[in-house]
Amino acid sequence: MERLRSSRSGSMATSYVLFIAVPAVLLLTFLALDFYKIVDVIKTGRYADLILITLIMSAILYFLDRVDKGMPLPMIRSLAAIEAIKEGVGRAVEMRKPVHWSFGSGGVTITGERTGETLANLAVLGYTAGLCAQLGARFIFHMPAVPAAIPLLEGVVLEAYAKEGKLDEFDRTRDLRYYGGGMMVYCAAMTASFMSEGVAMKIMMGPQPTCQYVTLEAAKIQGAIVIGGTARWTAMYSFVLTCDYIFIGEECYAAGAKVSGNPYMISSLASEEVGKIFTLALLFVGAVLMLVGVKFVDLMKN
Amino acid sequence: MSTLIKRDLPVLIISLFGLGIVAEWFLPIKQLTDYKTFMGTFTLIMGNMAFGIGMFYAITAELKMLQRNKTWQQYFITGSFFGMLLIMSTIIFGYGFPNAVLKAEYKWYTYNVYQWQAQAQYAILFLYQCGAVYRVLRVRSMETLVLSFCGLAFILRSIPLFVSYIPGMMELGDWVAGAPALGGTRAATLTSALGGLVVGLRALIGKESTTLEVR
Repeated sequence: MERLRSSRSGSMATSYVLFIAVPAVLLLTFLALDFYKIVDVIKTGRYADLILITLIMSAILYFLDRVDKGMPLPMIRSLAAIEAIKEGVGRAVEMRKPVHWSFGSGGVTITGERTGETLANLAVLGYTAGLCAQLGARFIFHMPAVPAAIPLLEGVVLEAYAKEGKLDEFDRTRDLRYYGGGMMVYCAAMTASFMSEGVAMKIMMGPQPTCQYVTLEAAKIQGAIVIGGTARWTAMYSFVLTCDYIFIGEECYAAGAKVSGNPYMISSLASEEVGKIFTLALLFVGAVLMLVGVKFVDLMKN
Repeated sequence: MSTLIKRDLPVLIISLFGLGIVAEWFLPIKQLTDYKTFMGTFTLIMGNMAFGIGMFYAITAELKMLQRNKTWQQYFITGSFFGMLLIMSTIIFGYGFPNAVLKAEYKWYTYNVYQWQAQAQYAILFLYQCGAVYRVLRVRSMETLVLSFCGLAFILRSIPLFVSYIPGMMELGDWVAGAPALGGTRAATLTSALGGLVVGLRALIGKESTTLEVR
C-alpha cells in the first residue's frame, strides 16, 4: 500500500508538471512576448480567451490523467431530471405506453456553436433508449428535420439497444420517425402520435423553443411525465413552463457526462468548474477595477 | 473494421482540423484565417452532401414502410410523399433555384396548403402557452411565490393602464427584468458556454464518447 501511494504521488507530480506547470510557463511566455511587443503572437483582445482555454484544456488533461492512474473522480451531484427519466421509463412499462423522445424539428445542430449541446444530448438519448431496452418499454424517437443527423441519431439508439442485447426488439421502421422540414408539421405529427399511441413520458432536449411548446404541453395534457432541457437561454422559457423536470443550461452537458457513465467524461466536468472559477474571478476583478475607475472592459478589448 | 479506421483516424482528422481553427482565433497568421474560411466552405459542402444522403434515406425508408405495411393509409401517405416530392422537384428543376420560389405554383402551395397548417398550429401554441403560464404562476411554494410576483410585475409593467395608474410599476417591472432576470440570464449563458467549450475540447482530443461509439 505504501509503495502504491508513493508511486501514485510520484506519478501525480509528473502530471502537475506536464499539465499545469508546462502550460502555465508556455502561456506566460506567450503573454509576455505579446504584451511587451517583442513578437506579435496573440490577436488583440484575446488574452482572456487564451488564458481560459489553456486553463480548461490543462484541467481536462489533468483530470483525464487522474482517471488513467486510478485516482478518485470528482463527485457529481445527482440531477433530479435524470432520476425522473428512470421513473418515467418504469412508469411506461407499468402503463404499457411508449416513451417519446425528440430534439425538436431543428433541434439537432451538427455544425456550429451548438454542436456541443447536441453531443451532450446524444448521451442522454442513448441512456433513455438503453433504459427502455433494459426494462422493456417502447421507445419512439421523433427525428428532427436535419437529414444529415439521421444516421448519427439512429446509430445512438441502435447502439443503446445493442448494448442491452435487444437490437431485434427495436422496430426502426415503426419507431424511428421522420416528418420532413416543416416545424409545424413535426408538431402535428407528434401530437397525433401521443393521441393514437399514448405517452407515458416525453423527453425533449435541444435549442428550439416553438415546437417544444406544442408538443410538451400536448404530452402534459395526455398525462405524461414531461422532461426537457436546453443550453440555449432564449429557448428555456418554454421548458420552464411545460416541463415537470428540466435540465437548465449547463446541466445538459453535466447530464450527458453523468449518464454516459464514462469516467473520462465525468472527470472532465471538473475542468468546467476551473473555467467557472476563472470567469468568476474575472468578473470580481472587473467589478472592483470598474469601481475604482479603471476601464476594465476597454482593457480587455485591447 | 479496425479500431484505427473506425475510431483513431477520424479522431486524428478532427483534432488536426479542429485545432487549426482554434489556433486561428488566437494567432494573427493570415494562412490560418484562409484555412478557416476554406474549412467553412468545405463544411457547407459536406452538409449539403449529407442532406442528399438524408433524402435518399427518407425515400428508401418510405418505400420499405410501404412494403411492410400495405394498407390504403400507407399507400396514401407514401403517395403523398412522392407526389409532393415530384411537384416540388418539377417546380424547382423546371424554373431553376432560387427563381422557383418566386413562381405562382410554389406560392400557391405555400399560401394555400402549408401556411394554413402552420397558422393553426401557432393558434394552438398560443392556447397551450396560456395554460402553461397559468400552471407555472400558481403559488405552491416559496420559489413559485417569487416567480409569480416577478412575472406579475413584468406583465403589469407591459400594460399601459397599470403603468399610468400605479406609481412605480414601470420601475419595478424594469428592475425585475434588468436586475435578477438579467443576472440569471448572464449566469446561464456563461455556464452553458463553458459547458460547450468543454464538450468541444473533449471531442477534439477524442474523449467524447458520443462521437466515438456510434456504429
